[in-house]
Amino acid sequence: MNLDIVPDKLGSPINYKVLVIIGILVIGFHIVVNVLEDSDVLIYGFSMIIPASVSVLGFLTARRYAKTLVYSRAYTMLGVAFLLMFFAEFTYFVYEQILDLEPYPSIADVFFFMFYPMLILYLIINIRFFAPQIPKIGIATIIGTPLFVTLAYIYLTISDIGSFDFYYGIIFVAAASTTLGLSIYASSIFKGGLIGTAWLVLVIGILLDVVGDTWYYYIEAIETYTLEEPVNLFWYSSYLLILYALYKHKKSL
Amino acid sequence: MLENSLDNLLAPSLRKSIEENLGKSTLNKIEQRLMERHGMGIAQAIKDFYKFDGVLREFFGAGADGLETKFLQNIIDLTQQKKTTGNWITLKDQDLAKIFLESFADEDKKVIIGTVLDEPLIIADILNHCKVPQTSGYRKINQLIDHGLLVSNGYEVSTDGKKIKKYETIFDNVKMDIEKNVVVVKIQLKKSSFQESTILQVIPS
Repeated sequence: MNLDIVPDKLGSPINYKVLVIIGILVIGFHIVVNVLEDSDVLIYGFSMIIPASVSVLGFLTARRYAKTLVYSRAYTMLGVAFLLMFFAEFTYFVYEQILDLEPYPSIADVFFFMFYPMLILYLIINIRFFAPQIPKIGIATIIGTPLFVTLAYIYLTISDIGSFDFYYGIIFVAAASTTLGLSIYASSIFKGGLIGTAWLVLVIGILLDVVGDTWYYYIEAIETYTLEEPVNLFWYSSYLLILYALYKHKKSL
Repeated sequence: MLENSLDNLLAPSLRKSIEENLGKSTLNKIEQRLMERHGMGIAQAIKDFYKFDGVLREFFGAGADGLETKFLQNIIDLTQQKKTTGNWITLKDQDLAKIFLESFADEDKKVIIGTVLDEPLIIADILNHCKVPQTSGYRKINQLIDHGLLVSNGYEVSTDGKKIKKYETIFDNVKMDIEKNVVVVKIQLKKSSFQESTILQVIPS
């Protein structure tokens, strides 16, 4: 690349090597934990390190934009969201590995749930600033996406209607899919812009999180969840993609 | 490039707004891109708003619309804007409002403004009409130009054939109120200032 030439258009392409590395990392990890006899601590360690990393990068980015009205607030919310996710995983670890108690449902679920309002705030701060007037298509995306995903979850678990897991799952799936609807709309705002790529990666990350959550609450409803479930792959790759999106955004601006 | 008086007035506030909302590093990136693509700084590009808009779109896509509207909202009361007629704008930005307040509080500046309210004059004529001392008169006229309250409009040809700029105010009328310790300044812009502002043309209402 000739550094003297001024580009006609600024670009921030996705580095596919990063995506391959994320893929290899999570699939490799999944194979390892399924081969090892006692891998619970390893799984918890991995589950805590990733959200902690996103949280640290979120807070560092917020600090970079310190005292600004949009980015400082938005990235603080993102940092808090993943800090709560870390607390949730840590609480699960303490319950299951130290206290030998069943962690689901427990206080950890409050942390898990609080993750979503914080992520929603992050998205809303961005949307409110960059697109104060939401067009009809935007409203349809924001409302339609969680509606569709939640109805799909209800359809899958309808046989379990009346049970605690059924209703509990609806709350989480609805919250997770709300983040997806908002992120899809936010991504459409920035499409074509330098930060559009970062938002696209973020949407894919949140999409994987929603798939993971829907799958998880489905298998919790039918009581087949174990720590070695492939559902963890979705969460790991989701958070790593969000980490990559955060890095791309930080690099772009 | 022909400078528009309203854009001239709004440019510094827009710059401040970017920094306040998105941070210094974002502002630096935008400035860097403006320089490499158009060879101009942010203050200059804001006055040539199409170029500024183009660069914002490179960074934020359609998010540039919201960003620009927000900037303007911080400076001008857009809700009042829709209700009023006759080119009146209400300034929300307190630094900008303070410039107006201070300019009218200064007796010399007030007289200078009054002199060029209806017709553009060259600086020497302004000083003659106002009867203010030359040195401080020049300084105060320059301050009014720097703050965007006076803009050049036309030329007068001197006896030796040189073109000398004539200056006039950007507004026809100004109203000032202090509401709960907040300075509220309403200015009735000259028709040309309002219609030729690229900022008002580019930013969606």
